[in-house]
Amino acid sequence: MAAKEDNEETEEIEEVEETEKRSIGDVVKEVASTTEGLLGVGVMDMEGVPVAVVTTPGATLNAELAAAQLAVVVRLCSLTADKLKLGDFDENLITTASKYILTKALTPDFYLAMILSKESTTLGMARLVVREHAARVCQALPKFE
Amino acid sequence: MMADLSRFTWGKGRKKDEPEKGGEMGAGGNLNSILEEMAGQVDGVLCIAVAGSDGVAMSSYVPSGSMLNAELAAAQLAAIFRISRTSADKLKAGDLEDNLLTSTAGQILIRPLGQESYLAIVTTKDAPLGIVRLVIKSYASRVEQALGRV
Repeated sequence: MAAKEDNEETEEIEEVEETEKRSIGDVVKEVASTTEGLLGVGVMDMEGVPVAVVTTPGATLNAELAAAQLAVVVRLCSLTADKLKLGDFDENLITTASKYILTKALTPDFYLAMILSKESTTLGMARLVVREHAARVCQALPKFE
Repeated sequence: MMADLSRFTWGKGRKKDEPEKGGEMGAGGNLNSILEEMAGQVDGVLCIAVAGSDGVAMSSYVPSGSMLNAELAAAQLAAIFRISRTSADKLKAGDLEDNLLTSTAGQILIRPLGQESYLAIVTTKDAPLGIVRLVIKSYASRVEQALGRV
């Protein structure tokens, strides 16, 4: 009986923690719904595997491909910042004819990737949006001890 | 009648014979002086380099006081240039316009010059990004022109 009560207590504690700390999926969804010109946003791990991804309907983005490809970009950027003694890598922005492809290091294990349409947003806005959301996404990241 | 061969003897001969034209024409023809002029336009420049996608620098300028190794920068930035071009390609985002890397202590802006070479500026973190972008944009065509002449 006592053991059962203990179980119930721990379940309650877990529930409280869940309501305080939102899931990474929800945070990414919220970022997606509040960002103008967004084609896709995701939290990926450094191995190139997507953790939580939202793509805008209509945007033909391959999340797996983006996660894998951009992980290589982030790794290379960290290595470059390191080798050139420019501190820690913060963010990388690839501007192309039609898109902004932003990657930002969150922790040593995860990065945030965002792909925006150039038509509906500006470079300044894209940079602001990523900075604004990075902290929240960082908080929601799963932590392993 | 002698053919005008002056355009084939660009560089040493031209500079010696017509030093008075150096200011106007030499700046367009001499890659190094263009990079030096570029560096003068922005505060906080650590290095400016023109290099091939193979990582070998064609020309570079490191202002006095900067400890950056230009050879290393050219090689390392070539890798970033190539990966951002392939990324743009794979994600079907069209042609690469530029790549901006920000770190806790600096910024690196890379702009392609055709398919096989790039122009890059490495600055400190507090260099004004708007001016860096403006300068690299306005000098890109001059550097490209000079590349055809060196």
